[in-house]
Amino acid sequence: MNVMSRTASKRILYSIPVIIGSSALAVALIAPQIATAQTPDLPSVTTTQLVSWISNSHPVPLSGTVTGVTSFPIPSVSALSKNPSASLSGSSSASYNIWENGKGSFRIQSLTTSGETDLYVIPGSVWLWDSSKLTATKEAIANYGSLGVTSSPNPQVTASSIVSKLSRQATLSVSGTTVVAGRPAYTLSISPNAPDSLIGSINISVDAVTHLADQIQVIPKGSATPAASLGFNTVSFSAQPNSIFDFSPPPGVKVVIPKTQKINGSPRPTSSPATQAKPKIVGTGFDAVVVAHIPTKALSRDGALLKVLHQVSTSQGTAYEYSNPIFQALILPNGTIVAGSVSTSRLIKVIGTL
Amino acid sequence: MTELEQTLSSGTSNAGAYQDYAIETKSLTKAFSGREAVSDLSLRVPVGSIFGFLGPNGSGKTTTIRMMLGLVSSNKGDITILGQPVEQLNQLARVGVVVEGPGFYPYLSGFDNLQRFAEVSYPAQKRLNPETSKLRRPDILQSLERVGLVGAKDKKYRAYSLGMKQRLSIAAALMWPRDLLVLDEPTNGLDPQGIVEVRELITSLNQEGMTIFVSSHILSEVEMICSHIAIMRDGVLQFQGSVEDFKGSLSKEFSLVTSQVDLAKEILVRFEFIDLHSCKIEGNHLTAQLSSENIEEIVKTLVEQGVGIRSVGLVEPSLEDAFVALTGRSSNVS
Amino acid sequence: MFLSEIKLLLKRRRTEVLFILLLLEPWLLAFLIYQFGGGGGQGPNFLNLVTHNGIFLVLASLSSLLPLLLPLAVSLVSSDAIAGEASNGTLRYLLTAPVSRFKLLVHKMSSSLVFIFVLSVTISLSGLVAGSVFFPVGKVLLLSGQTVSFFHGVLLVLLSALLVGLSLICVVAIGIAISTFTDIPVGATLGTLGAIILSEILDNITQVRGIWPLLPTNYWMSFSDLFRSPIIFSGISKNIVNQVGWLIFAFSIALAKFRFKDITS
Repeated sequence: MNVMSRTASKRILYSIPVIIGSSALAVALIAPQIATAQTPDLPSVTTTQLVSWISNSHPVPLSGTVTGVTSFPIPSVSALSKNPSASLSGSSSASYNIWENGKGSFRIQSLTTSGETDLYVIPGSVWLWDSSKLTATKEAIANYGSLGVTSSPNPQVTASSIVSKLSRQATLSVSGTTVVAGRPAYTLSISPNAPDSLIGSINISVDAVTHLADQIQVIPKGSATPAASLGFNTVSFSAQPNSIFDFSPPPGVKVVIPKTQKINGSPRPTSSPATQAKPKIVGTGFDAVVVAHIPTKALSRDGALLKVLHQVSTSQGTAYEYSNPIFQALILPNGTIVAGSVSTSRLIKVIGTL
Repeated sequence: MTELEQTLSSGTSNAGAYQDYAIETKSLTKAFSGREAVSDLSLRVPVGSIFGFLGPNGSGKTTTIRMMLGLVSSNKGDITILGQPVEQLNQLARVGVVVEGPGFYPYLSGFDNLQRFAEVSYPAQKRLNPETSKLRRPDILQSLERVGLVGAKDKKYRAYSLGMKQRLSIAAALMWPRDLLVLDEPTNGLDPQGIVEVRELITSLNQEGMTIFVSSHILSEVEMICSHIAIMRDGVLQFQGSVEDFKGSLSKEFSLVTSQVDLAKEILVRFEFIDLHSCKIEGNHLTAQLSSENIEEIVKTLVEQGVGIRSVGLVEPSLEDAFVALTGRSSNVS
Repeated sequence: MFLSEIKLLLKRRRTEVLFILLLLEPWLLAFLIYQFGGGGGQGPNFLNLVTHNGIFLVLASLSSLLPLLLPLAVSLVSSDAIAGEASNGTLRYLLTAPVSRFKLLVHKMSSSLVFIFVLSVTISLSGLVAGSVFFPVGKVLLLSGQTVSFFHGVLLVLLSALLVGLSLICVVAIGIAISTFTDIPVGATLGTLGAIILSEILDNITQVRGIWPLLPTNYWMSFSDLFRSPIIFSGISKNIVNQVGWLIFAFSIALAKFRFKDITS
């Protein structure tokens, strides 16, 4: 082999890893963006059709992974008290696996590297399993709402409640098509009429085949990127074997049966002090503002946390302002919290009426 | 990797195609980071010769040998080994090699080391000659016997002396049937007895028909066994040809023994009989290259000037002197 | 040639010592858990499950060895491939034997691959024995809270041993690639280990989240997904693709560097 051809083959040999490396990088960095930018061609639908699909859906067997993402952090209280300013920046996301059999049984699985937490729900029986503590907790069927779950937490359930509660105070339109979890979908756009709302629109994607909502995005006013979204990463609509939902505490693990169970289904006493007043809601729909009270003791305890927040003057004194793109809250020195997806001026107005 | 497949499948088709030269290089040039280690080297190693490749350390011998064996690529030029371009590796199965000292696994015994290389080389031997069979234990023991290492066969290589290591590398080079043996400084680290043994081994292998290419920076080690030599200096070939040709190419030296050696030198220079630079004096013995061939006139002049002459004549120069003249360095300095 | 590589590997005292040390690790771990408990029921890496069922000792061993000690052991072997031969002075004799450079790389790579699978399977077997000596064995509790039979559990353990072996493919591939760039084996070992540790660090920095799927260590713990019900295959299959990708990528670098390299060792 002469020198020329050796130089040439050397160049070819070196180009192989360069091609492999750069295409892998390209796939990793660019492909996710391409996937979401797709707009498949689908037969056209009307707004009414989309609304009726979302409102009149029936549970079907499915399995998939649901991810919730916010462009702002949802800090835990412990993280906040450790480093308030750091925990107020960045974004947060969480995902869980979900199985449903379409007949009221479902299971939610939240994974860690070498463990998991599962909620097994079949009609008449609810178990919470924690592999890191090796505990199985039996929850009363009426009480599993206290876990933050009132029904299977899939995007369809959330979407239908949004449509039923908010669609009357909003303008609805079909905003096009998209791809969710690799499946073509229509997008219903719900834009609030209320001028004080922080929300530009809520976009609900509806699977083109099963007609189930599979993604919800909340887009702030004046922005094109969602501030919060909840949707399937992967989903498959197929029959699920019963074994997925079956759970009985395995031998040798700790079984916990909460005391409230024994009071025969009566509601669990709230953990907050009895002196605390019930939250009040001012206004309806997108304009709704929640007024609540927390003990001033808690305020002074979390003083460090409050110091990183902006201060706003109101008719009831200087308030601390917590805000993110789709949510505002004012905290008054007397422990009153006024919050909603509305502008600060609306919150200040509500404070004036208290 | 089509090129590799070609290399592997080309097999024995060209074996025996070489007739005149076991190794032939054409305009071989190699530079390491801009500095030329070998420049425009055209070597021809006749089949059946014992070819001494001489030059001081750093003259480009090892780089040349590495290029011949495909270890280092050339910047320019071609190499043909046993009739095939060096890039086709197969014919290397016919070449026994000792390059820049022994190289073995320190944690294996001498026997296990030879067995390792026997296993590694077997596929190439088999490609060259389909009838080749694997080397068995007795074959390996025989190779060890040949270099006198049977007694140390189970000793770890790291416990070997330098001489034993050198012998083991010669044993490895001779495990398979070879047409050509390339030995780079094979006597490094050997005691005088070992050097004699290696010389005898080289001669006897050559008599069996093997071409032997042996490099050295010490001329005296190889001059008595070589049929051909090549001399390198700073990467440039100074001479190549048979030892007779080399001797014939040298002009004879004037030799004078006298008690008045300094006076003699002064006169010889004054009358421009000799070149001052070539003049060497050892005791009362003066040697020099002559400018004039007329030795009678020289003797007459010396006698007239009162120099007593004990003996005078023309002698053939030693190879060592010629080597120094060509390479600018004594070959005994390493 | 391939068998010769395996023999060369096994005849080395260093390899034997590595093997023995790694096989003893499950016994040490078993003894510690037996004496001091499994971390108060909160322990990571299956420690809390070991006292419940000895079979989990295998997983506890593998997941405690995987981040550092297994890569160290494997990089000692894989980075020796070319750099070790160069420093012994044997590389020039292998290439003039003659062995084609491509084949030499292939044989070095395949013998190291055999090494990692033998290593992970024997550690697992050692862990199974140690686990059943120190702790009760029986029906196996999965991470999802469901149980399977003992033999089903053993099968899962052996599968996870294979997946741990598979996870080490990148260490072999990167080690061999780095070893073509230097004649100093220790340098190649440190470079390889450094690359793996760098990957493990990057895997925890959210700013580079975009390249996480490309990191060789990103899916290393996916073998634990075997112990869920149903088994989650997405991480496992991504790990396989990732490891094979690194094997091809690093091998192509090794070949590009080594194919025409001037051998001056």
